Amino acid sequence: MVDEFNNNGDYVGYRAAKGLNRKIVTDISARKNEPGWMTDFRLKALDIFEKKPMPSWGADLSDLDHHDIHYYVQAVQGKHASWDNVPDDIKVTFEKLGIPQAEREMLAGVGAQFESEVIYKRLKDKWANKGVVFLDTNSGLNDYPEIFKKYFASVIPAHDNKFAALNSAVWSGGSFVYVPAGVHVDLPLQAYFRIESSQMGQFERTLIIAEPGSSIHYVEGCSAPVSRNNSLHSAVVELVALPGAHIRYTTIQNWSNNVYNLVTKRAIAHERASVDWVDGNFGSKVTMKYPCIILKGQHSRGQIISVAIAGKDQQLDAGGKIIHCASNTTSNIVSKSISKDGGRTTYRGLLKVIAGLKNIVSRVQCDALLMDGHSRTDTYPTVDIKSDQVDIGHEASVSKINDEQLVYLMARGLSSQEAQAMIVNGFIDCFVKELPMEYAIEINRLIKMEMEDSIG
Amino acid sequence: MLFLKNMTVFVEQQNVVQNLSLHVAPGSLHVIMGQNGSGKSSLAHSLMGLPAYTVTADCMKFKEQDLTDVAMQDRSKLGIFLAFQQPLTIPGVTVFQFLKEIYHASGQQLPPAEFQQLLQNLLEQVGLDLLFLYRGFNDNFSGGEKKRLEIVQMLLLKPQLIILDEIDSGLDVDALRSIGNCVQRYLQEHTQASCIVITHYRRILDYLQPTAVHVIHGGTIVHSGDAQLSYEIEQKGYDSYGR
Repeated sequence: MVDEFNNNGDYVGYRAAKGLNRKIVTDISARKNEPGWMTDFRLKALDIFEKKPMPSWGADLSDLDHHDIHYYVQAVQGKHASWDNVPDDIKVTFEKLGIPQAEREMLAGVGAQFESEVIYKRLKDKWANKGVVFLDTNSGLNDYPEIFKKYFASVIPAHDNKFAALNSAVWSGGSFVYVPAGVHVDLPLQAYFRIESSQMGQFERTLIIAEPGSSIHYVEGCSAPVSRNNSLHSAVVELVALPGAHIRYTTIQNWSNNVYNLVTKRAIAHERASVDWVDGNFGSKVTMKYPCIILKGQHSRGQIISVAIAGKDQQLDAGGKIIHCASNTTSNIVSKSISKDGGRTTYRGLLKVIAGLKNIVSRVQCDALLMDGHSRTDTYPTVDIKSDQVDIGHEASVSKINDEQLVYLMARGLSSQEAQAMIVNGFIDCFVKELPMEYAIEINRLIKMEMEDSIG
Repeated sequence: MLFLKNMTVFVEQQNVVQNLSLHVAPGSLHVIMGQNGSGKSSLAHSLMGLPAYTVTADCMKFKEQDLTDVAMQDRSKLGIFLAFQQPLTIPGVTVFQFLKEIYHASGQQLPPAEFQQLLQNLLEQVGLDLLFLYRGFNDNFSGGEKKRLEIVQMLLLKPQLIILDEIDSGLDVDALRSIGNCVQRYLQEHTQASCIVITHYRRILDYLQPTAVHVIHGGTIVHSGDAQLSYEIEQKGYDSYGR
């Protein structure tokens, strides 16, 4: 662990040495003043991480060098001391996406002069009065140790997969949200988290617990590109929807093109609970992400709606998993992917129904759009149904962008890029409809930018 | 307005228009009638600049500008509008979004409330319910509804040269009257605008006042006359005009 100072001798933060060992993991835990059980948990997870082989399926991870990564970086200040120092291309991107100036500065890491902070503080107080807890995950562990320990890693254990193990060993940051029984957080928690999430580390750990009859809509990320010094982003997100609760988790992430985005997201839905994952994946070099819902209680419901766009040298391997463990449960997966400029998308899905269940309804739809002849898409839908009282619908389509549509739009005065953007925005409309308004507008603009940047 | 001299068009190595000459003066309405495969639609598409068509001509000018190397989106911006015989469907894009985009692309701007009012007005003119604004573009529209939406686009973009490619196909009498009246009213209100109506049948001419009627055959104009010619064609059939 190295404390870092800038040229003026100011303390700017600290970071771990490259690579990973027991000393680094113990240091991270000590640095955070964690209880012994968490230190043990981290060390066990490290063992698991070291023993588990790299996945032999999915995207190509052969360039990922585990020894060339700082596993813990904690900056006190953002990267850019003032707005003037923010690179022009990033400023232009913010401009094009229509992100308000105040938020732009935060997203660019300029610092804490965020005017609306007061408003967010007030909102936070309002929720706090209803008993809603909503903290960074380290503070959650500190302030709510019992409830934290009860649910932490209960949905995604460290041994789930190699990268979940890695996250378990070195996690830092993320959000801890607790919604008491019967409380409805009516406003999507995006305004505040949109700002905070931009400063999260690369191994964030999020835990959301919705007590019986409560509801919450959590939004992470934004459409602006997020660059990381480190090329590996490996988050774990656990959702617990207790009986009758509803959790909606919306992600819009746009990673810079050097990032490996290897994320594990899973939810448990108890009786009559419902969970929605709304997941938009843009950018990154490699993404592997398959949000999962375990329908544990009767009459629970799960929905996963995702979009992935892969451009040049990008591979987005994404999809969704639903596991029906109780009767009278319903699920819906809609996956849309777009490949362009030689990019590669993969839909990888799982629909599982355990034996002896009754009254299961599930719909899976995955549609791929190819923008040119040298891009690629693959579909791996795994269906494992051990019960015969099921109503399952599965639809998959792959289409190439329709030249006649392009001609029609261009005859109306649109440029080739504008025409493509319109067709793509129409293609992902069922996803965009699920987003809060300002995100929907940003996504439409992001698609336009993606098309403008296309080659040829 | 439009001046074509010895225009020849190839599509997929097929010669679909040859040595066609036509002069369309400002404020005039030309009707081009012909059988299937006579080159009517090819003419319409090549005037719009669709990329599949290779065009050579001694002269192809629109408002004194040589069109040869002008891309179709720029022809649209110059004021050329083609109502497609078979309008395309754009799933997931609402009629409102579509119309907003093409309106902006044409360089026009209006505050949201006024734009909304404008669209309401245009939909009323062609007899489309307002709810169409929020449906997917041409998604599950009937043939007649698609054609009415073509006319809405025309009214929105305010073109100088209108090309109607079999706008009358698949229309019932009411739709035909509504569309015919819209076009005629537009031409009366925009006295410098011209129109080329491409059709098999003379029935839409009940609502329009043609300057000239031409018979196209084998990719070229073989006979021209006034409105009376359309009645003769109806009686005698196209065969008598073949070369």
